[in-house]
Amino acid sequence: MNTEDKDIVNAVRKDISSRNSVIEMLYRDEQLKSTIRAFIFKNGGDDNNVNDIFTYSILTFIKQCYRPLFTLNKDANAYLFSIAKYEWIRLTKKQRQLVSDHERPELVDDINAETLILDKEKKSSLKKAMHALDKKCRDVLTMWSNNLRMREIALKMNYKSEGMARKKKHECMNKLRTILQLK
Amino acid sequence: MQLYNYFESYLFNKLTVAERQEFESRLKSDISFKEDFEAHKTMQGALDVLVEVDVMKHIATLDKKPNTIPMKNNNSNRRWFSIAASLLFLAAAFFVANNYLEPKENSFIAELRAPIEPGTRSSDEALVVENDYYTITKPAYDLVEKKKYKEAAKLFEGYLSQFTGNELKKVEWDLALVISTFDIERSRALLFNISNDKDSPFMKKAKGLLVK
Repeated sequence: MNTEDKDIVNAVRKDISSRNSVIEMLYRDEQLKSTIRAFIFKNGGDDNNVNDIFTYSILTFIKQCYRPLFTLNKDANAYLFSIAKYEWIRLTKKQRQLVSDHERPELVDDINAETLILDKEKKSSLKKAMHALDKKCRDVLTMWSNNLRMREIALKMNYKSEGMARKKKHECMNKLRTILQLK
Repeated sequence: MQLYNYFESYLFNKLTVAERQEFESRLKSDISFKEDFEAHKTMQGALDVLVEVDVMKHIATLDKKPNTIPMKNNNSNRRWFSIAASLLFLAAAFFVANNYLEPKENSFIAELRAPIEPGTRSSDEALVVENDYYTITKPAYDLVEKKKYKEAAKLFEGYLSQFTGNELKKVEWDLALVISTFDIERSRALLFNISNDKDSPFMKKAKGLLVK
């Protein structure tokens, strides 16, 4: 097990400032960016695509870290690169600049692609749903999604107790379920 | 297995081949199960949208901000120096590992998962162990993190009398994994017991490790 990479996941989960340091470290990793750039250039992309895909891979990695069962068993850069590859091949296929099936990369750690891909329409409907929530709920759920502890949420939202924050979070989750028309 | 855990296990490929096939055939035959799974993905997606907004805000600030984190650079001299230093370090580490009976990492210990602090999204309610378990056992997991396996094993042994049910089974499992770093035979014996314990949620994993 690579302790350094395991630590990255823990650092993301620890708190916002620690997570932001991880984002900055990845964002400024020239080696990672140039590996992604080389792949995208080789496969018909340009600098704009590189920036989009690079940001996308960081974003996806951070979101994965917040999922309880996510573990990084391999090198973080290799994982981010595989996200970038996967997304670029998916996009080019979609635009019919086809890349043959045998070039479809395997994801590092074999994570189900369903956890990575959220199509544009779905994402836009989820964004709308979020806007339909009241601001307090959005704030509470944003903090919860970013892994803040209940006591921190209570403090930031001026709730009397951790229990109150937990109750509010449940209420907001239920509101969201209703908006999304889930049972 | 609770649904949240079951769905996440599927999404993060933590199911065995047979469990995975069972999951997929249930998706085809059980409409209510499929709806629950779709709802789960939608809810997680919605929470991810919130994370995304927050992360993008931070990334936007990075373009305007000077680099504050020491990064890997392209200075080739420094690179060769660090490669040489790493080789030297590896040689020294190899010598130490072969001449002293210190605990060693292996594929067994790689299976150990420390419980996640309750009350955060990373430990969604369905996966949360009891608060007491997290608090009481934290010192042992901290020692594992620092690779002080012998000390960790002593603490785990002490926990055996403090827990019951699945928490006890987790202590037994983690103890067997920690012990593997310095006493593989004892670890195998403990794993053998777990692999024959039908009540243990780690029965299959223990069998798998013993086959390895």
